[in-house]
Amino acid sequence: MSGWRVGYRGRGHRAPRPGAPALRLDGLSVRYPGVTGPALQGVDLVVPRGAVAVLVGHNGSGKSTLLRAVAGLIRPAAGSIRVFGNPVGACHHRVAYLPQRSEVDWRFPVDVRGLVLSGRLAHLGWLRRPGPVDHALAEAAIERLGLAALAREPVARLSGGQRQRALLARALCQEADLLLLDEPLTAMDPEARDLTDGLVGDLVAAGRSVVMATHDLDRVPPEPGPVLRLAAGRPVREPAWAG
Amino acid sequence: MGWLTEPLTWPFIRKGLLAAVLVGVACAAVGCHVVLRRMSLVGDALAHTALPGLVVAALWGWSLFAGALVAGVVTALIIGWLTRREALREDAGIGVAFTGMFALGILLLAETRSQRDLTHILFGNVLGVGAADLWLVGGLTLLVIVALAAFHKELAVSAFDPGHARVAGLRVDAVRQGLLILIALVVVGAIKVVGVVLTSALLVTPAAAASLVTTSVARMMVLAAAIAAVAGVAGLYASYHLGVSSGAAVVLACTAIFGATWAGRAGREGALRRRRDRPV
Repeated sequence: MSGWRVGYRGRGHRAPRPGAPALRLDGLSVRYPGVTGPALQGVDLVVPRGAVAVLVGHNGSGKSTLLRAVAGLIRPAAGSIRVFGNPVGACHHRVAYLPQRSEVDWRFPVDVRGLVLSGRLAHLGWLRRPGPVDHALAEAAIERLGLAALAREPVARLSGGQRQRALLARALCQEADLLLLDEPLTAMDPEARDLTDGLVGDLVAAGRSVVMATHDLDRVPPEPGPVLRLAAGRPVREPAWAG
Repeated sequence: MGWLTEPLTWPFIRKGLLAAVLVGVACAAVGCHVVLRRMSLVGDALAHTALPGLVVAALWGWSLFAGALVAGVVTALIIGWLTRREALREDAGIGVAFTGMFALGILLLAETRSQRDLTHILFGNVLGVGAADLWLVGGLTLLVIVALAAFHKELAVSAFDPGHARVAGLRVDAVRQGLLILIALVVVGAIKVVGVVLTSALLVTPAAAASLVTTSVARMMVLAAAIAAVAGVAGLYASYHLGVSSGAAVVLACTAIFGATWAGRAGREGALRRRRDRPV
């Protein structure tokens, strides 16, 4: 990925700070406009590089809000977010976000390969088209998620589980160092869930970091790193992971 | 072959054909993004809001193109500003800007005395394009095609997954604003060919026809441009030979191609369904 590049926000390709964790939240609070009470308040979290952090909580507990804030989609009301030691937005290409309910227009004329290839967007920046390296990464991600037979299918024809896999393939194609996965197993069949569990394991083995939100305690990875339990936007202090 | 070559002996027909094809290609290419983003109302709105610009230009003796261009770009900026960060739904923002500007145009229109100019504004006058108009239309078309090619991935990704585009650092609102300005530019050309009333047809109909037969944005744009070019030529020939309004003939040619595409697709799907349902 060498050569000329104009990132989308100029400062979007900063190098990680030496020794900084993948993610550090200090006293993070988030408010939605027009809503009384914070959506998140006083959240601290450190996710070391190469670890899987798990956010546990019921629907509405603030898991998605936390991930959206880290992805740069909402500005915090207070506190700080550091991604590899940098402020949010300073390294867009290092962060991949898989939302629980994506804003994807599934009727848009794009095939699975095109969708996965769009994971390279932050790396390409303005005016650059995907090259052989980007295409090879997209093919590998499609293969890894078991979508090779569907690569040329329009996304409109995918089932719910296949769509989720395609979005996961896009996150993989991005080669992000920090993956934010919001309920990634929703709508997946058991086979796809196993595939995803294996994928998360491989990513961590390769030194990547993952923050995964789940309301299902049974779906927590076998060796989780930090676990943050949220209730009504606040961290629950008692030991959340007693086995 | 006389019917084919005879009109070409007239310089105004040759210029009109070139203008119709250039405008059609630009409108159809931008129109694909309009259709894919379900912004079909915007073309109609931007054409109507050009009215005050056109009237002011006619009153003060300026170029009509320049008047329409300024009014169109101003409206595009107003719509973009009103609807940024989804502060107001896009259709509501368009409704507010569109009716306000059109009403202003109607008030100003009372100041003009020329019925001829009004007819040309409302229904187009492609056979009246001069050499300067052609250069302007050519320049607009080139600018639009270069912009669409240069920002293809940004336009596509911010349309089909704005959330992903934002996470990648792309300013989705700015891309949409840029698209609105491109639409304003092509609308100005389209007003010359088909007039204020029918402009949205050049934006929407070829793109809608192309969307029926392809599942790739790039192919859709090429196909829509080809449809608009064919409709432009067919419409002007029909206008010449039948003595009917050129703008309406071009739009009806677009509609006919859409109808044929729709029928072709429905026929193909019906045949596939029958084959599938046939007892083995």
